[in-house]
Amino acid sequence: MRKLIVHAVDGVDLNIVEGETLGLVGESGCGKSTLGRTILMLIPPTKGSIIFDGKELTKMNKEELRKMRKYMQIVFQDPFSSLDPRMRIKNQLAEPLIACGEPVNDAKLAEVLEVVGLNREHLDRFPHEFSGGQRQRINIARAIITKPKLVVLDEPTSALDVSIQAQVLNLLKKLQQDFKLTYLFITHNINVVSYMSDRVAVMYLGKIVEISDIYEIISNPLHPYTKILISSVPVPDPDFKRIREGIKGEPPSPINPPSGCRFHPRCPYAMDICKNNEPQLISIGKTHSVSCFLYK
Amino acid sequence: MFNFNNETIVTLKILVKNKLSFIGLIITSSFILLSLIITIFGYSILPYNPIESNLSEALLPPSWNHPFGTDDLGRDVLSRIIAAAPLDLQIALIVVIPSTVIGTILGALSGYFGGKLDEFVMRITDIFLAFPGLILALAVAATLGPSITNTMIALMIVWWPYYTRLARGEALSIKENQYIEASRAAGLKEISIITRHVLPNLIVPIVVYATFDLGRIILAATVLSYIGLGAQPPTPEWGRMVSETQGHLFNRWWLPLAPAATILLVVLGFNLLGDGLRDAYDPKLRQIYLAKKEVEEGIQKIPMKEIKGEVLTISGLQLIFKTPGGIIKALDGVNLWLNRNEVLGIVGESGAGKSVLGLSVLGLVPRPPGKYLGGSIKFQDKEILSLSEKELTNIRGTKVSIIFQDPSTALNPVLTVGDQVAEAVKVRLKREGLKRPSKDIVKKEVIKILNEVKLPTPEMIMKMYPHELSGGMKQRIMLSIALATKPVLLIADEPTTALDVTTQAQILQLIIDMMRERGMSILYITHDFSIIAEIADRVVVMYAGQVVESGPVRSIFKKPLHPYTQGLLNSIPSLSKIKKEITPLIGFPPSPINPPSGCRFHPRCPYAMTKCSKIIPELHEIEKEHWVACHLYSKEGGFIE
Repeated sequence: MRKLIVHAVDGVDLNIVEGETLGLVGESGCGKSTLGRTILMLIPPTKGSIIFDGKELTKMNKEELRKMRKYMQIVFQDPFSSLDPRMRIKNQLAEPLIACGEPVNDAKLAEVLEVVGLNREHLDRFPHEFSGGQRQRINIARAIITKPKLVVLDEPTSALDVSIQAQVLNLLKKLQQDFKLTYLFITHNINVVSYMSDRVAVMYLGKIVEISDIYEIISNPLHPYTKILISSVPVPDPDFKRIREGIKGEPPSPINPPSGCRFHPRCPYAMDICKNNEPQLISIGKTHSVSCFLYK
Repeated sequence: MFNFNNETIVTLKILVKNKLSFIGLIITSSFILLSLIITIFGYSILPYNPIESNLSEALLPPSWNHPFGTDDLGRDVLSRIIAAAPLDLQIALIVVIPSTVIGTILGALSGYFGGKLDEFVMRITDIFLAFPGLILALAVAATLGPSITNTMIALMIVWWPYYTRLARGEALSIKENQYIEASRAAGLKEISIITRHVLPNLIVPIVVYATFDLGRIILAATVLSYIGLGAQPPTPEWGRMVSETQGHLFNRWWLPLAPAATILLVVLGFNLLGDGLRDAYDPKLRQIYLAKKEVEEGIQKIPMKEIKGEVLTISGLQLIFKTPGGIIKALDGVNLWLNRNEVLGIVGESGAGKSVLGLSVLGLVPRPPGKYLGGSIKFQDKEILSLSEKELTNIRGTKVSIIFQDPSTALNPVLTVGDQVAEAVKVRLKREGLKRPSKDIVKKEVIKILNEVKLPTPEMIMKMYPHELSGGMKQRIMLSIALATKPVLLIADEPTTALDVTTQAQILQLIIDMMRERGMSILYITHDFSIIAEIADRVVVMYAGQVVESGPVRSIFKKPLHPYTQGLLNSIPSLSKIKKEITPLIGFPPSPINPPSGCRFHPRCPYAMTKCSKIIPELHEIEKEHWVACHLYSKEGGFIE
C-alpha cells in the first residue's frame, strides 16, 4: 500500500519572545495544532531545529526531553477528553510534578486550584462532577503547576460557551502576568486572537504566510490570504462596514499541496511566478514579515 | 491511583436497584458462599456423605430427607449437588484469573504500542481464535487425559486470547483520548501512563467480560465432565451427574433435572450479574444516579404575549422532557413572531433551548419524552402542535425547510448528492401538479438550483457522493435541498458553526442573497453574536428556555436592555475593538432540570432585586419594537403571579 505523506508543517521559521503571546491562526488543515505539538516535541519533527531557552530539543534523548517538559506545557481544546474520567483531580494535577521528580503535597495542589478560581475541596472529586469551563480551569492548573516558561494553548476556549469563554480568557491573561508566562495561542477565532495576542502568525497549508503585531495585521494585512481572512470574520457590530474580499475555490489537501505558492490557485492576485516558485518570508518594516511575491 | 470507596458503593447500589442484577447477585453470592463453606469444612458439613455408597437407599424418590431423591448408589442428590459447587468454581477461577491478567497486560501493551509487537501478538491470538473454543479444549483435554487438572489446562490455553483481543481494542480507543497526550506532555514515562491511565480504564470492560466468563467456563467445564473428560467418579460434578443419570429421564426425571437446573441457575446468575455490572458502570447511568435528586417544581404559569407574526407566531410555548435524571424544562414560556422577508436571529448559549425551538416549529420534537405543557405555534394560521403526522409532512420540506449544523450527518452517504436534491425537487413538482416528472425535467431543475447556490460544474457535482465534497460544498447542497421546495420559512440551526471562517462568510452571503431573491423568512439559530450582527434583521435573545429580550438588530447591539444581553456583549472580544477590556459574566449557565426560581438570570445578575427571585418577568415593549423581560423595566404594579 502506498504511504501517503501529509505535509502538515512545511518549512516553518518562527520565534517566540519571552513574555509575549504569539497568536497562531489559520483554518482547518493549516497545521497550526500540529505545529503546536511539534514545538513541544509531542510529535517529533521530520527535519529542522527547535531551540527552547538556548537548548536544542531535537538532539535530546528521551530522558533529557522529559526533564525539559517541566518548562513547556500545553492546554488542549476538549475539556471532556483531556481529563481521565477514573482519576481524582488531585492525582491528575500531581502528574507533572511526579514526572519531573518534584515533591507532591496537598498544599501545592490546593494552591494551584485556587489560583485558577476553584477551591481545595475539588481535589478529591472526579472530572464528571465539573462543567466544561471548570474542567478547562483544571487543565490550565495542571499546565502551570510546574511553573513553566512556555504554555502552548491549543484552542483552549473553542469548546466553551461564550459567557464562560470570557472568564477563561481573562484568567489566562492574569496568569500570564502573575507567573510571567509565554503563550503560543493557537486558534481559528480571529476575534479571540486579537484580544489575547501581541503578535500573530497566519498559517496556510503548513506554511506561515504572514507575521506581525496584532494591530498591524488587522489594520494592514499584506498577504492576500490574510486580507481575505480578516475581511471574512464576522464582528459583533451590525454597523461595522468593510469590503469583503472573496476567496475562490475549495480548501486544498495537505497530501497533495499545490506547486509553487500554496495559495496561488485561490489567490485573486496570482501571477505566473506564483505557480512554480515558493515565496519566502521577508521583512517589511520592523515587525512585519510576509511570504508573497507581491512584495519584494 | 484508583480509589474504591465511594464508587464501589454506588456500583453496589445500582446493582441492587436493578431487579434482575439483584437476582444475579444473590445467586452468585450464594454459590460462592456455599463453595467456600464446603472448601473450608469439607463434606462433613453436609447432611449426607456425597461419595459413600449406600445401596439400601438407592433410587429413592424426593422426600423431606432427600429433596431430590437418591441416585443409583444411594447417595443424596442434594448433598452431591452442593458438594460439587467448589469444583466448578475452582476451575472457573483458575482459568479466568490468569487469562484475565495475562490477556489484559498483553492486549494493553499490544494495543498501546502497536507496531511489530501488536502484529506478533495479534497473529498468535488469531491462530488460537481460529479454532472453535470448546472443540480445542476438548482436543487438548483428550490428548492430556481425563482429569480435573487437564481440564483446567485445556481451558486456560483456549481462554487467554479473548481477553487479549478485548484489552487491545479498549487500549486502542483509550490511547486516543486527550488525557493520554496530556500525561505525555506532562513528562510521564510511557510505563507510568499505562499503569496510571490505560489499565484502570481497561478494568471495567474486562471485569464485566470476566463475570460473564465465569458462567461460560462453568458451562464448558460441565460439558467436558459430561463427556467424561473432566471430573472422574466418585467425585461429584454437575455435568457428570447429568450424564450418569440421564437414563432415568423418563421415570425418575428429578435425577438428571436437579443437576441440570443447577447448572442453568448458576450460569444464569453470572450472566445477570454481568449485565448488571455493565449497566452499572455505564457513565451516563452513573451520572443520573449520582445527580442530586431534584425536587419536581411545579411548572410556573408563564405570561403569554400574542403578537401576530405574518408567517410564524409562537406564544407561551412550554416544553419539558421527562428523563431518568429529572424533568428538563427545555422551553419555559417562549414568545416570538416572524414576518415575511425578514431574518429573525435566535441567539443563546447551550441549554437556552434554541435548537429545540427550531425543531418544535416543524413538529420534530419526539413526544415522548418531550411534552408541550402549554402555548401555541401558529404557522400561517395552522396550529403546529395539534397537527397530525400526515399534515405535518405536508408542511415539512415544502413550506418550511430546515438546515442543520453538520452536513456530513444530514446527508445520506450512500446516495449521490444529485439524487438527494432530486428527491426534494420531486416533492415540489408533485405539489405543482407534476406527479411523475420525467428524468430530464428533474435533472434540469436540479442543475438550476445547484447553480443558484453557486456550486461550480453542477453536472459533475450531481454525480458525486457527500464524502467527496468539502464542508462548504456539502452545506450548499443542504441549502439547495432546503430551497428546492421553495419554502416560505427556512430554519437554519447553526449552519456555519462547523465551517471555516472564509467558507462561513460565503455561506452567510449566499443565505442573504437567497432570502432577498425568494422573499423567504429565515429563523437563524446560533450562539454567535457576530453572525447575528451580520445576518439578522431582528434578534431574540434566549436564556434558560425563555426569551429575555427581542428587538431590531441595531437596538440590541447599540442599546441592550437586559443585563444578560449587556453582559454577554461586553464579554465578546472583537477585532473591531482590539484589546478592549472584556468583562465576563459571573457564574455558570443554569441547570435545565432545576433552574433558578423567578427570573432565571437572577443569580448572575448584577442588578438583581428581591422580586427577581420570586416572579418571572413578562416581556414588555420598552422602545419601538424593542421588548425586554426584566423587572428593572416593569410597569408599576402590573405583575401576573
